[in-house]
Amino acid sequence: MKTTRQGTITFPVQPYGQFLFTRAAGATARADLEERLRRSDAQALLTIDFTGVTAMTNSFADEFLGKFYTLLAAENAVEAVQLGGLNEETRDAVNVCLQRRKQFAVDAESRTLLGDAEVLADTYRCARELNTFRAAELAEELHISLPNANNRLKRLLEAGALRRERSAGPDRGGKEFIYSVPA
Amino acid sequence: MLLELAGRHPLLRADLTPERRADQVVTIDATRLRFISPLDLTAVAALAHATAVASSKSVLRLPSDPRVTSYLQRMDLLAQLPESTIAVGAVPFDVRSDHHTTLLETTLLTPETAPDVSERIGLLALANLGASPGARVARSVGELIDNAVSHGHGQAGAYIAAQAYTGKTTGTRRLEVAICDNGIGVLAHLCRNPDHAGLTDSETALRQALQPGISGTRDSRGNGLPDLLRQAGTTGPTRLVVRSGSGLVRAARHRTGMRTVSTLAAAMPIQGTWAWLRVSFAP
Repeated sequence: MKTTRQGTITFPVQPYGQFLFTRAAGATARADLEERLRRSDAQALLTIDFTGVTAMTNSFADEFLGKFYTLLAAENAVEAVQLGGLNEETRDAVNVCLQRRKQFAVDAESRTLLGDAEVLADTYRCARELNTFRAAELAEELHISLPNANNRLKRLLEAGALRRERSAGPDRGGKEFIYSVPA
Repeated sequence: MLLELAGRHPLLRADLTPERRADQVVTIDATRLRFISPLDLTAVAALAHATAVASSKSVLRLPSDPRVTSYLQRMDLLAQLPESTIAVGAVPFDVRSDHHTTLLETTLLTPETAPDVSERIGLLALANLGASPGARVARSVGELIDNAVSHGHGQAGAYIAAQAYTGKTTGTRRLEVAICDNGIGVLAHLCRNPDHAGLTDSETALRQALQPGISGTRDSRGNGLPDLLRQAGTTGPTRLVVRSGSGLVRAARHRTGMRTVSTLAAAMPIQGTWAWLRVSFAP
């Protein structure tokens, strides 16, 4: 069985300012975040913490988060990502940015998906209820086909909303993935 | 060139026409001004610096009303003018108290100053409009700041100023912010994107810039101005005027949510982009 990553890392955004307006500031914050992930061991859970940020433009959010999430699937520095400390305004900026890029992210406080999450909101809710599960179990819960469940799980994994590990199949006849919701 | 300023917001008028003169001196005559808005401050600073970069001289005739000149001085316009600009008129003694919760002085806006300016504007909006509407309006102003820093920071600089009005005389609290830059302007910026290379005039370019997703890059960008109106417009009646080249666009979002946009050809073309935003609130 593959070793599950254990560590968590928190990236506070507030040091970049209480009011974050420019794409340049977003690019700086993203570069620092990527550098911090590169320098640390692979982590299980990254929390991007917006506590102390009062307002940010959609442009800042796009340059910082939108581009970060675009690269997230290709990078292997972290298994799961969540956004914390959002207020009404910063949550709106995140939502607008992610919807435009057809991306989504986990809100650490509400445990819901932000952004373009209409199709996957129910899937993520069900995954949270199951907590640890196989794709077939999710498909059964949602009354959808196994390929459909796998497609949805792939998208949730790419957004860092779920983690998975390889495991022996229930009949010991092969390998399959066990999915879990990061704590 | 002689530019006579009179009345309220003269630089927002499309028909403001400078008088051409044989000499190379740019004269801005503000003697008849009885009210100075953030746009007047930042536009005069931008004009004076554009003139200086062109190796020409400029003259600013100060308002004859000492209260107006005193305000102009308090808002640091004189401090921001280039050395080649001659201010003509009586300058009152500079007595100042801290008004950082009601105004932002005329300030050079660069990538380096943008974080401090953002903080000042954000706190100004929160102090005058309340936490939630203030944050929303700050986001809107932030889009203008980002535009100026990203596309407007030419050799002659970009300038920002802001003023909160209490509504004691008008019955409506207002926040006015203006940013005037000497950058490449909206038309040249949009034409960098091959999708918009066919644009030929500033009026059309400005109208396009108010549409979502219209950008000078091929990235998924270009939502700054539409976002600005959407966000600020939900908190109170909002007016935005943008000038660039020979174009002038007036956009408004009313309390009912209705949005109006009108585009005009301005008699006086300007270098770069000037933006003026006013958000109003019931007291």
